[in-house]
Amino acid sequence: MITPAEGQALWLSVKVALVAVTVALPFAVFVAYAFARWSFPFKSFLNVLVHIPLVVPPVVIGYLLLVTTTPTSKFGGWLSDLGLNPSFTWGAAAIASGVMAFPLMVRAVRQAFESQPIALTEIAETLGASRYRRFLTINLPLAVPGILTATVLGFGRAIGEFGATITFAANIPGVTQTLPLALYTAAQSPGGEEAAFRLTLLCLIPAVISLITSEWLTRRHYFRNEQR
Amino acid sequence: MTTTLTADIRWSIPTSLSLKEGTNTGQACFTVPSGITVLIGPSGSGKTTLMRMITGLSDITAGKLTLQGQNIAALPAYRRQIGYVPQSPTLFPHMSVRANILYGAKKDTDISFLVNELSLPDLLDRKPSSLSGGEARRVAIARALVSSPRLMLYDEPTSGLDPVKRASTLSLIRTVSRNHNVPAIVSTHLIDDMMPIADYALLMDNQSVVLEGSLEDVLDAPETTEVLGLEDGGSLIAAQITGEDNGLIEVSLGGQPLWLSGASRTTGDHVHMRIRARDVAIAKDRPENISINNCLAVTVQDLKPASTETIVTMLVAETDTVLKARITQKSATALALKPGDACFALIKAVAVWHRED
Repeated sequence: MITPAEGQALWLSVKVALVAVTVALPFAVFVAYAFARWSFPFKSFLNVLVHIPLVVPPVVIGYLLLVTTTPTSKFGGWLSDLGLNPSFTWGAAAIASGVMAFPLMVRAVRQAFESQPIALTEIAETLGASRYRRFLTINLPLAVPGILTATVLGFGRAIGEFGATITFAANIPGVTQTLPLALYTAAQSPGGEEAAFRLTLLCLIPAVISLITSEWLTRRHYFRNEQR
Repeated sequence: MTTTLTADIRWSIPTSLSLKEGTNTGQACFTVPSGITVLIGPSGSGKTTLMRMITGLSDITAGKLTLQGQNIAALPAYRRQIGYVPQSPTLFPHMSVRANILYGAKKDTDISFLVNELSLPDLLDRKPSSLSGGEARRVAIARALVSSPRLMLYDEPTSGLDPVKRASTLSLIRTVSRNHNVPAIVSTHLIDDMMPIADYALLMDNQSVVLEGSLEDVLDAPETTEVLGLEDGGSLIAAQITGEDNGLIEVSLGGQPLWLSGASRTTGDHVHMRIRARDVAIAKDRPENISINNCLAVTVQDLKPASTETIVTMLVAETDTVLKARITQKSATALALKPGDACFALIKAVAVWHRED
């Protein structure tokens, strides 16, 4: 049977991934829209910056997060003055997961915005819709399938996050030990094969649930919009 | 007629993706009255570009645009109150037809009259993807009209429609413009389409408005024939119906009868006819036993060579009605035509439009 510690790891993983995706999603939508529709200085530089977590080793991201938020650094000192010290908390795990999932989410949403014909928002503009209203009534609803994809991709990425989390949040059972970290620990311990197997199965649960939910939402959206 | 829109604008559009590689510069200076104005010009002459400048979707580089006394050049498109029906209807795919129509409406707008006028009641709860091209276009027209525009722009509203649907779409545009008292600019490269609905015309060529005036004046102008190519050269004639027989209607030109096929017209109606130069043949003597119904006595005014052909301008006897014929140079030489000659114009086909005014 599942031990309480393993149950805790499962719950922690889901909490971390949900918080990471929920916080990252609005930013991802904004950044995706900006990249898809606006031109501004340093656009390609910022594009590279957003994609960095996708191409550098996760440990590097975890390390960078650690050194920028440690109380002896400038930014970390400022955070510390506000009473915030994220390192080695479950919040750190959420930040690490969010940062790692962010580029994937931006890509999925950006593609959704880019595939929308500009003519649609142009017509809305001639009908008196301000930029804000055009975004809320045309761009955003039409990007819903892309946003759903981004959510699932981001959730999957966040649940599986390992390198950045272990560096930034450490591997503290009951505090920051998410499923992948618990599995790593079990695999390292002598006689931990059975626990490792159970944790492997546990890892599948959130992944399967998120895939089924996304499939269901996409279908529902599809039927609502196309079938009449 | 009151002035709706005056424009004195210049623009410049990049023609390639690489910066500063090439630009298309255009300019337009015109005044559009109330009623319906047709924007005529061949494909690629800049009609859509000009319409986008007027709506505010594209930027002008310099100049002034005045709509009903207000300078709108600096206003963003969403504050100009100009309804735009682009060539493809561009309905919002995620909204019902009803939501599409109400998109630009003020709160509590009653759309029932408009919906009936455009025969849309059965479509209101459908999704745009289930509509035919003609239905989608009518929805796009309704949607633009509901936003209480001060001016309507229709970009090639008849493109891709069969002749019957073309005619009904155009009469619809005329009807709604009248009922809602909204002036309109309608673009086309099919000149024959616009005749029944337009009051005023702008001729566009090579990114510039080159001519403006009443529809009759613009159609008669040599620039129009040249810009649109010989195929569309011809003359526009106004007349009153004097009789009917066997589904044909009779109009009189200086006492000479002209028989036209035109069902559902009644004696006394005013009609406009367009006679294309290529549908007119010339005979020196009145021909006998011939299938062509219409043979008018005319006087040759002018002969103008155009490549291998000759455009003959003639005056219908006892009138100041001008008729043009396009014949080969060989025929012109064989007939030895010269200005002042009396001869006969044989007319193969006449396009007739009915106008209430």
